[in-house]
Amino acid sequence: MSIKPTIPFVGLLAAIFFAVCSVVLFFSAFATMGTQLLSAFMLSISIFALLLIDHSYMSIDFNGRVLQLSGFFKVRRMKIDINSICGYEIHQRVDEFNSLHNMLVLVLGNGKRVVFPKIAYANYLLIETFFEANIKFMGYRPLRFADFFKKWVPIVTFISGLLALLVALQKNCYNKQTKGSGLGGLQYSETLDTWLTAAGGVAGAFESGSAIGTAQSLRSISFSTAKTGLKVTKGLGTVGLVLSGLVATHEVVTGQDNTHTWVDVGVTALGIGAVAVIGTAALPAVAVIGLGYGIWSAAGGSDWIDSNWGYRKPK
Amino acid sequence: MFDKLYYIFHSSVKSGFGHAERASFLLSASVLFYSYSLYFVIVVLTKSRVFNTTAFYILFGAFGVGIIYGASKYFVGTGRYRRIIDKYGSPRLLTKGKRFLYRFISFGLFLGAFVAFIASGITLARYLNPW
Repeated sequence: MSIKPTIPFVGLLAAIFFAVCSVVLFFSAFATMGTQLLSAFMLSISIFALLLIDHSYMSIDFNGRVLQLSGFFKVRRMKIDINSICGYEIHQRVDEFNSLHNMLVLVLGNGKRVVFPKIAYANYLLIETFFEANIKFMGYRPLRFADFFKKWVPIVTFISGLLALLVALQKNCYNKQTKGSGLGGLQYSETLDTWLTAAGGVAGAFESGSAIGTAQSLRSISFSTAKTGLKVTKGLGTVGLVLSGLVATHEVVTGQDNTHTWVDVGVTALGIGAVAVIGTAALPAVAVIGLGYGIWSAAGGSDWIDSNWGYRKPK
Repeated sequence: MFDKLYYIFHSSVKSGFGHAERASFLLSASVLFYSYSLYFVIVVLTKSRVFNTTAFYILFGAFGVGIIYGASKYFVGTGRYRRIIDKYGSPRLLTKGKRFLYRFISFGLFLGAFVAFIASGITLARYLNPW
């Protein structure tokens, strides 16, 4: 019997990221003692990540008598006689990938324990079945406050990642902005604005089309086709909505906002609201009005709104 | 709290194609635009600077997509919406008054999110580039 681990994409990416950072810092033209120390620290993180991967993502081979475990990079190798194994335990664990789950731990005769993380194997059930059939069960160790961890570990991980990115961005952008003049020094990117607006409009139009198509042919299409239709609709709807918020923010940040910005946001809100209240029957009208409004506003409607009701002088 | 909130949105959305998905979308769109508004207000209140880099827009967009997809996965993908309906009862059995109240709350929250976004956006615009 042979069980192979999955490829640890997240771990490998982290290891490569820290290794690249370390090399860049080490060979930096402005390298000082401090940057070289930071480079060494990052290199050690990278090596630690690689060793952790090797330790956790092990291949399992069993020939009926000997259990052979070899690490992902073949650094860790173990040959264990099945008679020298005391048994196995099941520990309850929480992580951001599998939420609350059970993890298998092998207890060896010399007191050492070998952990088999669930994330490392695509078919964990196979290992569970193998252990159940060949090794003595020694007990179940539930996790204290499991429900609390199950709920908060993914949330805290997500928020920490987001905060880390925000801090990095804050530090990165601080020196690029014009000091003492608010944001007057920032450049407006018309290309970005145009592309985002166009992408939002196209996504909205296709979303309505996909929703109409799927909803009207529900009786004649298969379940999987309807499911795909729903997924496409959901994806395009999400893109359209998020782009609407992005375009408005981009215009505000660069000082190009005006009444048309908020009318665009309002039209998006009303479109989504109408479909929710009236149901799929509203889709054709929403599609036609949305697309019509998009074309009209690109053809000069936005300028017309701004010149008649604008709160700042059109640029 | 989120379960009850989802139930309120689920009861308000017109039934039909992708009912659970539409309810989840409506709820997450509201949360998203309240979050954006909160960010704008924080920037104004703390007199912070605002990023105008590609990375910021990517993060801003990824946050939006993440909220909408996360909510969809949480409520619909995992089948949680069925458990919520089992817990609070079928929306069809709601009294007329209760249904009206739920519709009022959900559409109030949804439209309120966009109103908050527009109001905070104009406040931010005034702070960044006064007219």
